[in-house]
Amino acid sequence: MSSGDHAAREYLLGFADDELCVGQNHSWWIAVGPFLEEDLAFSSIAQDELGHARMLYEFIDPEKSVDEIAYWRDQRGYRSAHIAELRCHQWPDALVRHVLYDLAEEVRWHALSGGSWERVAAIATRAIAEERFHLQHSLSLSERLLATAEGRKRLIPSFQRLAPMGQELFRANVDELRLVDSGLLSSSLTDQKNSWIKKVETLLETFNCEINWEEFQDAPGREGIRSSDFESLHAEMVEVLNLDPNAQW
Amino acid sequence: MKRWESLEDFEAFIVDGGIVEPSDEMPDVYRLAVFKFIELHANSEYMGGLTERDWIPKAPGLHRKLTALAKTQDEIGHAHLLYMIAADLGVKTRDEMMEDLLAGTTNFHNVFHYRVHSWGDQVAVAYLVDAAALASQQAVFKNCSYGPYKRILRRIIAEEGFHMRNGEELLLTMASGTDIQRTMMQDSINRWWLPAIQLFGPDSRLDDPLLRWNIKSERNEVLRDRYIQKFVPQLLNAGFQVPDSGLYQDGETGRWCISDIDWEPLKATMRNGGPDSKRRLIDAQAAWKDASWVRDALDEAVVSQ
Repeated sequence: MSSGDHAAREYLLGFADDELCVGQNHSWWIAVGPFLEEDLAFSSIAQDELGHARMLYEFIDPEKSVDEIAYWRDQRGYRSAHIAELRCHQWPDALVRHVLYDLAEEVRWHALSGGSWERVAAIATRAIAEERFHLQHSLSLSERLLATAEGRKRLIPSFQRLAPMGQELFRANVDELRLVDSGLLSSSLTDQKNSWIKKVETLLETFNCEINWEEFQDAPGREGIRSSDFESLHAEMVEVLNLDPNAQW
Repeated sequence: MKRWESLEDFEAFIVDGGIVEPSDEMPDVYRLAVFKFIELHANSEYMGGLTERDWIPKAPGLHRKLTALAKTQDEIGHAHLLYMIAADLGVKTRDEMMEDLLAGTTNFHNVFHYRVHSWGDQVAVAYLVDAAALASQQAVFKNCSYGPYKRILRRIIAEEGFHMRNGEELLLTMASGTDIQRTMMQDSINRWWLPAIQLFGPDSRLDDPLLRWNIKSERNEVLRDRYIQKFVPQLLNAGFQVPDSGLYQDGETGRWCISDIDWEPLKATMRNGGPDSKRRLIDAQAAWKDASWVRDALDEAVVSQ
């Protein structure tokens, strides 16, 4: 990418960092999910999300190693949305974030696949093929659980807390018009956000779960301000790398 | 459906290389022995996943993280397949096996009673433990008389082959790395060498029914010795020491001989008295209990459909 594409770079870096954080967080769940099939699903989805991060990092800065971009930035250099950074060590939160995030990814990747940046569109097309399975998993499981009283009791508070936060996924620290004008995105972030909100409401309306979208505090993740969960997440990512930064691991 | 008039007829069928299928009227002693063997294998795959889990989020770099995730996913996938074929034997359900494992009334392999303390330990598990497990599984696969187990072992062995190559690559990276890496790796080899050797168990009993019924095809001591002959030179060539003060190479045969093994700690470990058994089981119990509402709600959703 040329330096003139600052807006696109910032936008894609935010998306890649979201994927890096969510993939890292999903990987925490292997072997401690509710049953083995869930362990398998979460670990497989974690690999896909990390793979997406890798493809985007390679596109953003082909001169650097992926690890250099993914792990060796100052914390202010990350652009992730705070919902992606949340540890979610309670399974209802982990499942609900998975639902919200993958519904958002579907919209976000389609906006890139419909754009005119060929290489980005190719990455998006590949990601969309994988996301189909993520959505199938997250929606069928959450719908089955929400159909029970216990499931609603456990999941609805997580939806009400996390869904407003999810709006940050559609924020950028650059002028969104430039992203559309340059052909990177085929639809504006505002349109994407509205389409996502509609999907979330469609899922939840059968289960009497109302979301107060106004509750969203304007999160500054894209501007380089990290959530309180990021520090431990990042520390975990680089713990071994830090033992000897000059080593090949 | 096959049936046999007597245990002698059944054993003659096995000696001829016969394969038993779940629908066959197999003798109860055989059914129970196969079940226990597969249950132990399934428990060990699952506990293996838990053992390695601690270091997946810390794996150094995106490539290592992806391979660690894929590997652990394979192990959990093996547990999943094995629990299903074990359940088909009609002795216990999947949930009963999981609950017995977490209550500490059934067993899992000795190597998964230890804690992974460092990235070096993670590499030692991938290199030493996976190779020992693969050697055992290959020996079971060779003549395995229980059809479903043999078919699943074919897939497990193929995947474990990738894990072993991954383990070798990880070890060589550490061997050719910095002082910090080589020291870390030697510490880990010191911790994991003996547990890996002990994975093969004490010498087989002369009348071991598992051998007679072609559930196992090679004696424990044969497998253990083959492993030693392969791994001692590999470790030495990579510039590491083998943590055994009594180790020597026979001048005439060239074979490597190790010190006598004290099997008492292994016996205690297998009774869930190993260094990390309690924490491992408590963590797994807590996770299982925390998520009980999910399993119950899904059962309820199925019933109400």
